[in-house]
Amino acid sequence: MILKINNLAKRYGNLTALYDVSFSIEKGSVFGILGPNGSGKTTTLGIVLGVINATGGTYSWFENRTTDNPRRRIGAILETPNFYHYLSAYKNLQIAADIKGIGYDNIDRILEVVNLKDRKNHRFSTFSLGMKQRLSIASALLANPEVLVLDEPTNGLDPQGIAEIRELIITIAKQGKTIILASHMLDEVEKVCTHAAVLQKGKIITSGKVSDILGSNDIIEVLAADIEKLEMLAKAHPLIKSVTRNGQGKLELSFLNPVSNAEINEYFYKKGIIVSHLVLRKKTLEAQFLELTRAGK
Amino acid sequence: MKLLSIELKKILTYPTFWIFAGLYVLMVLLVFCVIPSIHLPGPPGGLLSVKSYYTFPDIWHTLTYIAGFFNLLLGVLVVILITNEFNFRTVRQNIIDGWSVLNFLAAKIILIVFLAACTTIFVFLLGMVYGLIASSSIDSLSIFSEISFVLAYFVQALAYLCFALFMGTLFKKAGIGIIFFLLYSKIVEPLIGWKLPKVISDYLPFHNISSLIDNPAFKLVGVSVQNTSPLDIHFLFTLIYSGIFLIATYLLFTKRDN
Repeated sequence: MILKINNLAKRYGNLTALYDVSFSIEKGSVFGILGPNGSGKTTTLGIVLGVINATGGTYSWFENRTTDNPRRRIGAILETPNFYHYLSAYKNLQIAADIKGIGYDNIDRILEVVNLKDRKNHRFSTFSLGMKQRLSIASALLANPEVLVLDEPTNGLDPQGIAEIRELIITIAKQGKTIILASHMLDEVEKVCTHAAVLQKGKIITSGKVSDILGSNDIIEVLAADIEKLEMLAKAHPLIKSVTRNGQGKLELSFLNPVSNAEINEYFYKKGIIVSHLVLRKKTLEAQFLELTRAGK
Repeated sequence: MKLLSIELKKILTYPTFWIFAGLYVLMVLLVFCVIPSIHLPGPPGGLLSVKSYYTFPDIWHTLTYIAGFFNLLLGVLVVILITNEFNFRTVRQNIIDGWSVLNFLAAKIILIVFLAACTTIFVFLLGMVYGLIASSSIDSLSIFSEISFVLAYFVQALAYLCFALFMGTLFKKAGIGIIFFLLYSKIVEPLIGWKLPKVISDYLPFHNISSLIDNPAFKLVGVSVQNTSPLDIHFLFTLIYSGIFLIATYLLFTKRDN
């Protein structure tokens, strides 16, 4: 077990940012913390990284088996890239290395990994947001840590930069490292994570394997002259999960198990209704996310 | 030593640091070296010659008193250095990277001790050079008989910097930190002191800290009680106040989120 969190809570005055958050992260997993902005992702990570005091609850890294400060075995970025503005990229990483208690021989190699080698002697304040973000990832990777904590690592990057960072995360995960990734972007979590917890307004709505949380995601859109009858029949289908009428007056059907277009067409035909419109659609991840968070309310 | 080298790495390429250090050196040199050439008005023949202030051993008193004014520059510098850490959120990053809150604070305390030591060494060297040039009779007894003023200067500078560290930590923003640092030390406390009986007002933090080294001109009118040594009750209180500022800073760091 890499990290175990029990009933973590945080209040800022009247505002409760976290309620009773509990989850645990296994070694070697890529754990996503998914939630909209302001849902408590950064607060949770800030607490386990020792910069925010929890109002209640406990957490333990490495099952408390580490005598040294556990943060030395973790590489982390929290919220924004935090560096001395007037120092060069290289000097900033030297300071991080000094605090970690490691040498400087890794710095050049890491700067190459994040594509900042030719800017290493430039001041941090001259960097673009994407470069700052990449430098913070470099800093997290510097000590070759067992655990990486990445809070919105692709924030502010262009599409190519986003793809590069995701590639990097997957490569690192393949080396058997544990990665904790907070993100408000579902596809990011879906693409790189093995496990996830979904946070909404400071509460965990669901957690588990990504394939279970973001399971079947097909919907079939149908339309017929007699929409009332269509809706009634749809609800009677044994595999149906939900029937909703969308903005264009069409019915959206989602299923417990994958069902083909042909099967559903045949079903309606046998029940004596002719479907005038039938489209299989991948439900957008956003829609799924909204569904999850709506259920959490 | 490790902590100090990290702190130095943070500031040695910081232009603002060099500007303040340069200003301090320049101002102390300027004021100290210009005063002897000014002819003060006063009762004719009743004044001790300014020259006596610039020879051993009185030079220590004169010089540390003058340098004391420019502790202000060092204080402002320390407010800037600590508020930078909040502004850049590097307090947070240093802790995430593996320091404890105590490590962070210890590094800052070591830095201010280092700054106070550097300025003290500067003052000491300046006094030695100027004194050796200006004094006619040079023997080790007269040179070092009032050397305790240099120690008092170190403690005084350190106390200023501890207060600056506290102000910077309390307000987190450079502008506000500096303004409160100046307002409190130069206006608020003197006003409070006015209303209070002297036994209390003498021991308010800043009054106490500046009383550590009296105005050497008091010797002229014969009211100085401090002819030879500044190591009196104010010295003890200055140490106590420094400790209080540091403990308050530590409590701020541990009680709130970084």
